[in-house]
Amino acid sequence: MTLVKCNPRRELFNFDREFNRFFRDFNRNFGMLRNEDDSSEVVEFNWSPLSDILENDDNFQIKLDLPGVDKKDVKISYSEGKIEIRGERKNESKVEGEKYHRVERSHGKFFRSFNLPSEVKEDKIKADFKNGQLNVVIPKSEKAKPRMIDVKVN
Amino acid sequence: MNEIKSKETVEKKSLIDEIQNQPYKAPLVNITEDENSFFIIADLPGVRKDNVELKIEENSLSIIGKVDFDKNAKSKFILREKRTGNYLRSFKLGDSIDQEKIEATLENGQLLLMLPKKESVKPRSIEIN
Repeated sequence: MTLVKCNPRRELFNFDREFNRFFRDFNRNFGMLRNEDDSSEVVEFNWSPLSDILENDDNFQIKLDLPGVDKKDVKISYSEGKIEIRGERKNESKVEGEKYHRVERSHGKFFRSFNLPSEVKEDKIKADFKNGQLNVVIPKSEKAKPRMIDVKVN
Repeated sequence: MNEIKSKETVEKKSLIDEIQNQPYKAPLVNITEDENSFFIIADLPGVRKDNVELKIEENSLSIIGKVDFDKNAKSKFILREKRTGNYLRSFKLGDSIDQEKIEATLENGQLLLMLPKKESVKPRSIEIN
């Protein structure tokens, strides 16, 4: 056992580091931040749609609320374990002489990205758009599906 | 601004029976006005056309949207940001709105309401002879 000189400040530094790490991971997982290494493209967006992610034995399912977004304006891409959903919600036609009383709904460009586990069938990702909701279905590969193994007891 | 005032507290009685005991949330809205009408645009993602109801009682207008909840109970949530619940929001209508001529369309998860103003309150210019 070695003796270590007590340094109260060290604890503080550790705390700071942990804190930064927490927020970096948080932002990355929720699509707020891109990886530092791919700074080639800066994504500018105004809002992030709310999402639910579901999992069952066969699929992952991502559900996004995109009311009023045109199907044509949504782009989904997948590369290296990361799915990216981006698009634009256009503002309603601005008519001259119109007065705004309440603007609660966000508009403009949106972007979300999610890291997926590697065991997915990336060529079988499907998406449909209905009633202002985007539903992306990502099938799991056979390896990732839960299996039952019968073990014989002698 | 006084024409349309949102009524944040909603009496349970005004709800359609079906969603009476289920949780609800207020849809986000934009309210605009031009010379002839008021417009309300409400976000109702995931609501089918036959699950939307508009109710006018005296001077209050309620937007009710029923959400088809997932029957697939086998799935488990990994991320859950959306609040579950039906949509419900009420607005008070001012005297200047012609209640008989209210029109509504649902498109792509968005409800668009047109509330025309009464002829008597529309601006008009008077010609001078």
